[in-house]
Amino acid sequence: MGTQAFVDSEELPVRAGNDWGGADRADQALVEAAQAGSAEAFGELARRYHSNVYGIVYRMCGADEAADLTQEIFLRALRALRKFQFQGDASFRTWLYRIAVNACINELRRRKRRSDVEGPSLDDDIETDDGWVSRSVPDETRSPHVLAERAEVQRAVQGIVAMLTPKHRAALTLVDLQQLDYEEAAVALECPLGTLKSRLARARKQFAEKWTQYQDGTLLLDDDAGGRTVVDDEIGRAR
Amino acid sequence: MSHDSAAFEQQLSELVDDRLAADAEKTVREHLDSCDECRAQFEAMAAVREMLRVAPAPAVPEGLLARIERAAAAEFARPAAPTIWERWRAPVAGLAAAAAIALAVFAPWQWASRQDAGVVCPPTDPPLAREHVAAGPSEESATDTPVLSDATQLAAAAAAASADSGAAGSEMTDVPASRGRRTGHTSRSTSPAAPEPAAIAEAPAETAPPQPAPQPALAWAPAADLPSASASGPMLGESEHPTVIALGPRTTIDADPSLAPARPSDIEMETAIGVVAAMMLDQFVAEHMVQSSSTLLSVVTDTPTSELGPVLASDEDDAGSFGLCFTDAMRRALTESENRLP
Repeated sequence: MGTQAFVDSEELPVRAGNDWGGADRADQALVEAAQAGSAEAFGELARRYHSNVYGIVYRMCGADEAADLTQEIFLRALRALRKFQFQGDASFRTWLYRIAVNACINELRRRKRRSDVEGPSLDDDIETDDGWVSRSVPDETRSPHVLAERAEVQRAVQGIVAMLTPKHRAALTLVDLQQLDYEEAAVALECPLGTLKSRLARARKQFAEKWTQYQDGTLLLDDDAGGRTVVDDEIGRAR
Repeated sequence: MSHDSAAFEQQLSELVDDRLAADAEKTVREHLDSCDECRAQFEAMAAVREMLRVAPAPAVPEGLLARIERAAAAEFARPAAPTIWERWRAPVAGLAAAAAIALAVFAPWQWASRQDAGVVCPPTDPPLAREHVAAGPSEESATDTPVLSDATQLAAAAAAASADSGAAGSEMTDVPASRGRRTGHTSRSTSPAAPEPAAIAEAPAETAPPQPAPQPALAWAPAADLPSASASGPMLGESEHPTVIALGPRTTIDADPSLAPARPSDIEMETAIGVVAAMMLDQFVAEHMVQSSSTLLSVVTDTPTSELGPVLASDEDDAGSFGLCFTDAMRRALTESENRLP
């Protein structure tokens, strides 16, 4: 497949409403070309989805290392691409999101293991009865692009999402932030549809509760923290 | 309607997304009209959904796409790395044979060990086997040589044929056992035409007067499904006694010391287990190609060894040993393949 095909496919929307049909068809041509060895085709796939993948990584793992992890996700996808086949409900987008979610969950596990080995630090997430509490301090001061998005709502949303458990975080990220439908999200998360619905409901309820706490002033979201509760501050002072 | 249940929360969430079936939606909405608490929860979920959907996406760092494209181009430029299967195909082909031999030898050794300990029933079904042990050994089983696995039966029959001993007839009843593993039975009978007594329940001799079949210890198959006795002795697919059918194929050969099962060496067993581990790892990689090696490792280490052991072992002790050895083999395989995984 020549470059012209990619130029044509660029005219197709990545997404039009909830209809992914056109995008999927374009993806298929690109995937097949990439499987045949076209770096250009894979570059086009990366162009289409790198912002969405970055968004998933950012929501699930925080801004820190999000770019590196996004790059790693695309490399993993490339290495596994020849095994990918368009069958049934499989779409490249859902498949790629699955890689992204798995990579994020692994990254969170790695951080947790590191925390277990080295002992907790003030920068590591902690797990509470209400879910995970992120105390990571994303270095959001390095890049102008991050500075530009420091809106209050954006920061609060990110901070509260980071407090959810990884599985709840993933469900909320895919359905409400990335706006996948239930079926696609379930495929991406490799879980039954009922499980996805259950996780989503739980995540929304927890988010709503945290949001209420945030508005009441009982949940503190520092300028440089993904999320911090009053309880966290008490833990920090105890240390 | 229990508005505190997780199921109801899920219904509220589905209603937020307009994914609830019509009848369920009607029921939930009727409840919301009369319950302020649930209505507030529904509105909160709807607000969350709306807030997240309009939340600005994080800005992508400048240069990220270029980084990805450069890394991808470098990856394309690299020579194609062989897959795990391609890398292991040749060794696996050779080792598979060793595995078959090791396993074929290992199974009778297990039985021999069991027999030495006074256990007389073949390990076809441990719970039922224990039941039979409680009833005491049969006269015939006391003279039995170890029960052989299918592979060992074939090997033994081939060996007997090639040795042309003349006295050893081989008669295999090709009836599958109930749990997928088929076991054979070897007796000292020197007459291939002689009817074989039941392996477990003491079957009546052919000349003995007919008597009601005893409640067979291993007769889990419905009696109606069992073949009837043949006047000329058991033929393929037939047997004089239901329990013979239930036990699976039988092999009658001479007791030849050279055919006595020997315990495989540790290397043989490790090789066999390693092959199985490699194959299962390859299947894992194929099915979970997006999983990282650390995820695979967690899958392996989280798998109870007691679930792995019964694949080949027949009692709890052996199952535990096998499981531990298998897990170690998987770990080694994972370590070797770590860089191959996506």
